[in-house]
Amino acid sequence: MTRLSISGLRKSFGVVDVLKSVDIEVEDNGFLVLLGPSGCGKSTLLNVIAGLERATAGSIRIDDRDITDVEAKDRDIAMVFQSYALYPSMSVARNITFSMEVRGVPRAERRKAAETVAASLQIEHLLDRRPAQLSGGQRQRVAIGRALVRSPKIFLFDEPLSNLDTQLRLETRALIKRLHQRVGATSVYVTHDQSEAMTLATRIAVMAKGEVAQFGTPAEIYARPASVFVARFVGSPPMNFLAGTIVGEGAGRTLQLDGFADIAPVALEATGLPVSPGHAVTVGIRPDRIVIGEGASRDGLRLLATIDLVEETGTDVLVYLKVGGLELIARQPPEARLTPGTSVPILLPVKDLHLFDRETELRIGF
Amino acid sequence: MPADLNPSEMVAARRPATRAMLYVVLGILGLFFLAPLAVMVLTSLRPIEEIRSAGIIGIPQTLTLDAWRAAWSQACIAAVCEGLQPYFRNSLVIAIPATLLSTLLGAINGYALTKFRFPGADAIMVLIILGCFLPLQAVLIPAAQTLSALGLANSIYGLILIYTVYGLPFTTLFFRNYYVGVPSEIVRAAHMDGAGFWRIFFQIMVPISWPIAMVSVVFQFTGIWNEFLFGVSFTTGASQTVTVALNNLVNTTFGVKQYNLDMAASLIAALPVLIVYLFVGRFFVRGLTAGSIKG
Ligand SMILES: Nc1ncnc2c1ncn2[C@@H]1O[C@H](COP(=O)(O)OP(=O)(O)OP(=O)(O)O)[C@@H](O)[C@H]1O
Ligand SMILES: [Mg+2]
Repeated sequence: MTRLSISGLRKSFGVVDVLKSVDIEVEDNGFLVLLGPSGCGKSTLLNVIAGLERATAGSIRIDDRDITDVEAKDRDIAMVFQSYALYPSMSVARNITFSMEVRGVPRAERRKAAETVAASLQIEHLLDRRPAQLSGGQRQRVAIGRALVRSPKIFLFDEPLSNLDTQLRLETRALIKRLHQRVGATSVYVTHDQSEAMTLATRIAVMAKGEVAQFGTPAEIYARPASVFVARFVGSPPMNFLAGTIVGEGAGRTLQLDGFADIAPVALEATGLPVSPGHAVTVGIRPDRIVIGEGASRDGLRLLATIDLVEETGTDVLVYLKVGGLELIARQPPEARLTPGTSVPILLPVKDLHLFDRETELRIGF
Repeated sequence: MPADLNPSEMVAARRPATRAMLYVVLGILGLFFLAPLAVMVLTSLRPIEEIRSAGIIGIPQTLTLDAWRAAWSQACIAAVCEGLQPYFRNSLVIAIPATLLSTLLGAINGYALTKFRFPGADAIMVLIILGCFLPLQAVLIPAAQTLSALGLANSIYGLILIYTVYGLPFTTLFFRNYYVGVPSEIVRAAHMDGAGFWRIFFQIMVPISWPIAMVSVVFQFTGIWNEFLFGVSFTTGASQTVTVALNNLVNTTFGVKQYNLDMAASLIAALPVLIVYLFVGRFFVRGLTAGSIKG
């Protein structure tokens, strides 16, 4: 049983507020991913959780124990660093069991622990090597082993895969996922790679400029992004955005795209959205939701687009469309046969539209 | 030259000539720098009568180690006729502990200043760097007062203290610059593993520090061994250092100047530094160029 609760956490370096009031809950066995652009404070948050940095305000609790002022070494938290941070002069076995050495565990017992952990990571044959004699992927496994051997209450990972090549990254990602399923320890994982976040997380906290922009399950964040920022950050290729205005009242409300006066507005029905006539909105639609062609009788915004560029990715086709002065990206199944330069009708189905207030950039209606 | 040669082949074709030039230039420079040493060695091996008749520079007609023997154990310095030997021992007894102490303390300083950043660390670093530019003469009188207040005036311990303290700015700077290149995440990882300040220092930092430790040892040993001003100011009689004794020996003349004795004594006094360079010079260069630890 390990719950991690962070509330009202702030961290400033001098006059710079790096974290401004962070509230996060990770359930037992949960895998929280902190996702956000470079410099948004992910590592800082992780370091504060680890006890390597002192919180300026707020509290961190593991279960019911307040650890805000507890020393790093007494928190029962292990951390895997981006640069592996192995001890250069020590063998792999000693790297893995250094924490036991510090606690005065006898040598034979340490060796056994190193062997057990190494076996689970398939690095048994490397135990007597030095870090310098290992490849990047092997080093990262040793770093993971060093955390595993402690069986801590909480695992922290700071971008553990970012120094690995694509193949190794996928392998190690799967390894981490498998370990988490087996060990089941509560984990916090930092990344700015959204595919890592989506595959590993039970919860994602999308961070922006020291704040949690949205906290939820991967599915929630993908399906109902709380702001333009989150919508833009999660999903690849990113969501398309267009400007629109609300016209009419009550059940007769419609959405009109700005600059497309000749396009029929779409009825918003009585969705109960808190929008009023004249409300300026940002309309978002995911690339895979754009329908190229007539789209049968579905409700939505119908536009005429010119195909600008077609990119085959193997699994599907990315189509760059020009609509008036706008550029949209659509993801289509690989069998779609599309010729650049031709004009095609497209449909933006109304049920797949995301509406954001243009002023606050926050999602309208939840 | 054929037009179809690629650049690397052109370099290869030119290489023998370039090489030869290089060796000629290096040879000339080598001769130039080695000449004084050669003259000293040759002169130290000639009997004094031969020097007197054939001049100070010349090929020895007869070889003798008399001058070396005299310089080591018989020559008179002021009124004591025991050669350089006791003062040589003084210098060793001073230089070795002072070198090791200043290196160790410099390592601790560099580690604390880079890996345990505390308020005011930068200001302290600036002061330490200033310490590197402080001329010895400027601290002579305060140092003398401090030593006598501590009851260490005219003692070997006093000099060990002075040399250690005076070397600290340099050794601290060496280690600071080296440790800056060691990723802080290593220290953070050790923290998470439960290790404290000293354990991290001795078990993680020290084992990766040998390149810069070599630099520090060579630099400190050379500086301390060759130092004259503090030695002449703070020691007299039996506690003199070898440089002071050498100076006194050369200045103690009875009648004719004994060039062979002077040369032998100078060589003896220079020997430890030469030996240190011979054995650890390689590491010195490697340490100076070693940037960071790729771990
Ligand atoms: N010790 C410090 N002193 C001052 N500012 C700091 C300090 N550490 C971090 N910062 C600032 O805090 C902000 C967040 O840094 P942090 O390392 O947490 O970002 P991050 O989200 O992990 O970014 P990345 O994805 O690049 O690792 C940055 O703007 C950084 O400059
Ligand atoms: Mg970071």
